[in-house]
Amino acid sequence: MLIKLEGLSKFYRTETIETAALNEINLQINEGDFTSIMGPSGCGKSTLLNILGLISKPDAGDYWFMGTNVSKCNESSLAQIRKENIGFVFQDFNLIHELSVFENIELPLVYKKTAYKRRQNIVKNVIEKLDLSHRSDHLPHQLSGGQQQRVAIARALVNNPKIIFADEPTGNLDSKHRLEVMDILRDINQEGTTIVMVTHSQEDAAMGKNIVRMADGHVLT
Amino acid sequence: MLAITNFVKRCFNRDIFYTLTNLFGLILGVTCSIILILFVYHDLTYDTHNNHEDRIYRVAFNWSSSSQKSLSATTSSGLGPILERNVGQVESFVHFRKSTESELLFNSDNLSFYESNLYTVGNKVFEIFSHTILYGDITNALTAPQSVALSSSLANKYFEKENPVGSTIKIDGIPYNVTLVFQDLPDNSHLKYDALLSPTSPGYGNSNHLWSINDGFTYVMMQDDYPQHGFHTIYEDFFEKHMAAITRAGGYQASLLLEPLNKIHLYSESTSDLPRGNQSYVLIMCAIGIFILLVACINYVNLSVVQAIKREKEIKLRKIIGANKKEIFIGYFKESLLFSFISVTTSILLVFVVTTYLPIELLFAKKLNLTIFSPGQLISFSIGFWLLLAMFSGLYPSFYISKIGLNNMLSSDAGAINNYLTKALIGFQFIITIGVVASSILMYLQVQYLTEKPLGFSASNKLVFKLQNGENFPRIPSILEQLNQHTAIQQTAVTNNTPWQGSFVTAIELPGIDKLHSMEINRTDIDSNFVQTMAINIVEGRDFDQTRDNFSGQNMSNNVLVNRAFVEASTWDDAIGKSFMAGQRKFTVIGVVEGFHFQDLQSKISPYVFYPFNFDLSHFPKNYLQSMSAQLIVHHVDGESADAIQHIEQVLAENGIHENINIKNLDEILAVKFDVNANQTLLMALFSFICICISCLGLLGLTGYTIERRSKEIGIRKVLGATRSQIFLLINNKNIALIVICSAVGATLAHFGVSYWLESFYYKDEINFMVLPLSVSLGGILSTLTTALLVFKITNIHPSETLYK
Repeated sequence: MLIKLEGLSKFYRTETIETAALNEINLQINEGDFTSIMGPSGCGKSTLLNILGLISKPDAGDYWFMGTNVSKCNESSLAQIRKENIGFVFQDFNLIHELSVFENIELPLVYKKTAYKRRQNIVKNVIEKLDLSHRSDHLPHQLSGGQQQRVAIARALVNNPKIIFADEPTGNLDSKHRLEVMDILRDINQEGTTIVMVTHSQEDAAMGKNIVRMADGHVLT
Repeated sequence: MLAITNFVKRCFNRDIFYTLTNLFGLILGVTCSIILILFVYHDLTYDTHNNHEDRIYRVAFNWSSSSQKSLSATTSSGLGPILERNVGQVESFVHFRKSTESELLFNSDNLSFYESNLYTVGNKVFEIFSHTILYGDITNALTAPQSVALSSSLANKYFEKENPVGSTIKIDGIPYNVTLVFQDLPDNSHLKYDALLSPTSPGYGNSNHLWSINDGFTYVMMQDDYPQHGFHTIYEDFFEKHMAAITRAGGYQASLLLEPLNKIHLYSESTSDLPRGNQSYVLIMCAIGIFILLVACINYVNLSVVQAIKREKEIKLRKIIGANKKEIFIGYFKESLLFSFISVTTSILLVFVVTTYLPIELLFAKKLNLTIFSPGQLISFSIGFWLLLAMFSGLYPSFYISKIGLNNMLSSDAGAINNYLTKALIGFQFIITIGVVASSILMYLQVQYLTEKPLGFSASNKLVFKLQNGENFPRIPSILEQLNQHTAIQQTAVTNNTPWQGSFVTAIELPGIDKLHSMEINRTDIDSNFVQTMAINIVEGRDFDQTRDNFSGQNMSNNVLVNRAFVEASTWDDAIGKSFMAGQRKFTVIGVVEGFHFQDLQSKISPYVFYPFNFDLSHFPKNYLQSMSAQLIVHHVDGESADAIQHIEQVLAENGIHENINIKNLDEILAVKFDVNANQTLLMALFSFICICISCLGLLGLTGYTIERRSKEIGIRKVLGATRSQIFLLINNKNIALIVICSAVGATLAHFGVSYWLESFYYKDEINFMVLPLSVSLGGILSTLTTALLVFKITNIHPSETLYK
C-alpha cells in the first residue's frame, strides 16, 4: 500500500468561524493505481491532493506514505520525500516563465543534485518521450496550453517518481489537448507510476481505475 | 475636511507595512537632514548678527622671512591707534586684550568662581559690535578705570535677577564697578566673552609694544563706502614706517591682513587664534545631510513604485472608467504631498525634541536650536522643504503610475518594476551608504592614530591649581616642599600658566646666516622641576638647575629651554649656547626638549620656549604684582588623588591661603582640549548607522516586493525540491552582486574624500586599504541579513499557500 489516510482532517479558520475543508477522511491508494478524485467546487479535492502531495499539512489524523507516518514529519523530511518519490502536475501548469522548456524540466534534477551529464540524458529522453524536442529551447509563453501541460508532465516525470499528483491537469485545455494529456497520463500509469488526479470531468475520471467522490469535506465512496 | 480624512485613511489602509516603512525612512532622513542643516547654517552665519558685519575686519599680522612664514591673529594694542591715524578708510578700531590668565577669580558677596572668556577693551566695542543692552548705558560704560560690562548669564550668576548696574564685583581681588549688562552673545560668535573690563594698564595703547607683545585681537570698522573685500592686505608700507627701526630690519617682510568678520570662523588661516570652525568638516556634514536625504528619497521612490505596481489593476480600472494620465498623475502626486507633509512636520517636531531634550551639543560641540531661524524663516523653510521633498520623491512614481497602459488589461499578474532604474537607485543608495561607512571607519582610524600618538609629556595623575597674587610667589618653594612631604605626592612643579591652558605668544629675533631671523613663539615660565614632573624628554643640553640658574629677582637667569620645533624653525644646526633677542633681553638656549602637543592634535607643533619662573617679583608695582598668579602642578601616586587633594588644601590653609582653590585634573583639561575629533567620528558613526538603517529599509521593502511577486515561483521551486539556501540565492544573487559592486565604488569614493579631509592634519596615519574590502563585505553582509529574514519567512510557508494565488 502506497498511501493510507486515517481520520484525516483539515480546517480553515477565520477570526469568527472554523470550516472543515476535510473531515475525518479515510482512504487507501495502492501502488499502480490511477485514482480520480471528483466532486463539486469547494468540496476539498485540491486540499486533499495538496496533503497527499505533502505540500500542505493536515490538522488532525494520520497519513502513511510508503509506510511512514508523514503527518508527524517536519518540512525538511517532507521535502526530501517529495524530491525522491513525488511528481506534480497543475491545472495552470506552474512553469517558471524565465526558464526554457529544457530548464523547466531539468529543475527537479538540479535540486536533486544529479550530475550534469546524467541530467542532460534524462531530460533528453523525457523530452523525446513527450514529443517536445522541437520546443526544448522555447520559453513557456511561446507554447500552446497543451504543450505547456506536456512540459509540466515531463517535469513531473523526470525524477522517475513513484506517484504523480495531478490537479485538474486538463482544466485549462481544449478537447484535443485534453485527450492528448490524458493519453500520456494513462501511458505513464501503465508503465507503473501511480497517479492521483483531481478532476471535474467525468470523462477524464473514467480513464482512471478508481474514482473517489467527495462532498463537503467527506469521501462519499 | 471629510474628503481629506478619507484620503489620509485610504493612503494608510492601502498597505500599512509599506506605508509605515516608507514614512519611517523619510522621517528619519528628513530629521537628520534638518539637524545637519542647522549645524551648517549655524557655522555659515557666524558673526552675522552684527549690524556692521560687512564693515568689520580683524587685523592679522602677516610676516615672512627666508625660512618661515606666519600669520598671527593676535596683534599689539598699539596697532589700532596707528591704523586709525594713518589709514583713512579706518573709521574706528577696538582691541580685545586677553587676560594674562586663562581664568580670573570673580567675587561677589558670598559667591566666588573662576571665570574665563573675558577681555580688556575700550568703549568703542559697543559702537563697532552689536549688543542687546539689558541694563546700563553704553555711552561711557568702559571709560572709567575698573569698570566691567557683564553678559546676562554672568550677571544672573552673581546678582540673580536684580539689576547689577552700580554694584561692585571683585575680579582677582580688584573691585570693579558693574556699568552694563548685555545679553549673552549668540553661540555663533567667533569671539565669545562674558565680561569686558575697562583698560587700566598705563601701557595700554603704547606703540612701543607693537612688535614684542601680541596681547589680543584688533578689529577695525571701515567707512561706510569702503568696498567689500575678502581677505586682503592693507597699508603696504606699515612695516617700514613703524617697525623696521624697532626690529633692526632683520631681513623679513611684514604686512597687515584684514580678515572679514563673517569669514573668520571658517576661512581664517591665522595662528594664535580662538577655536575656529573647520571648512572640510562643514563640507562633510553638508555632504552627509544631502546624502541621507537622497538615500531617504530614493527609498521613497522605490517603495512608491512597488506600491504603484501592486495597484496596477486599480489604475487600469480607473483608466477604463475614464481617468486620463494627468488625473492619475495628480491623484498619485497628492499622496506624495501628503507623505512629505507628514514627514516634514513630524521631523521638525522631532528636531525640536532632540535639540531641546537631548544633549546634542556633546556631539556637535555647539548648541543647535530651531530658534536660529525666525518664525517667518522657519515657516518658509518648512514649506520649501516640503515641496522640494514632494517633488523629489513623488514626481517619478507619479509619472510611472500614470504611464501604466491598458495592455493585458485587468491582468492579476503584477508587472515587474523597471529593473534598471530601481537597481540603479538601490545601487546608488549603497554607494552612498558604504561611502559614509568607509569614511567614518577611516576617520576613526585617524582619530585613533592621534589619540595613541605620544603627546610628548605625561598628563596622568597630575593635579593643577592656581595660586593668586604675585606677593605669594616667594613662598612657593616652601609650599612645594611641604606638599612633597606627603606619601601620596611624588613631584611638584610651578609655572605661570600650563601650556595647555594658554601660553603667551611673542616674537623674537635670532641671528641667521647673514641677517637677523624673526620668529613667533609660545612661551611659558617654569621652575627647575617642571620638565621632569611633566615627563618631557630632554633631547639635547640640560634641564634648568636650581643651583646653576637664578630663579628670582632682577638678576633672573637668561637661560631658556626650547623645543625641537624651535630648532627646526631656526637656522641653527646646533641650538645649545645660541642666543636670541626678545624685546630688550637676550636669552641663551641651554637645552632642547622633545616636541610636545599643546595646541590641538592636528596642527604641527609650534616653536616653544620655556623661560625660568621668577619667584621674586618684588621690584614690580604692587597692583601689577597682585594681579599675577602661578599654576602649581602636583604629580600624585596613582589612585591617591583624594589624599593628594586633601593634603594640598591642608598645606595651603596652613600657609594662610584660604581663597577659593580650584584643583583640576590635567587629564580632564586635556580631554576637553583634544576631544573635538572624537566627537566628529562619533557623529559620523551615528550618521553612518542612520544611512545603513534607511538603505536596509529600502532593500527590505524591495525584497518584500520581489518575494511577493515571485511567491508562486518560490512555491513551484519548493515543490520541485529547492532548498532554503537555493531559494535565498535565487532571490538575492543579482542584488548582492550589485550591492557589492556599488559598495566598492562607495568605498573608493570614501578613500578620496578622506584623503582630502586628512589634508587638514599635519600628523596623519597612512590610509588603511583593508578598510575598502571590509566595507564591501559589510555591504554584502548587510544586504544578506536584511533579506534573509523575509526569505526565511517565505520558505517556511507551505507551498500550497502560494501555488494557488
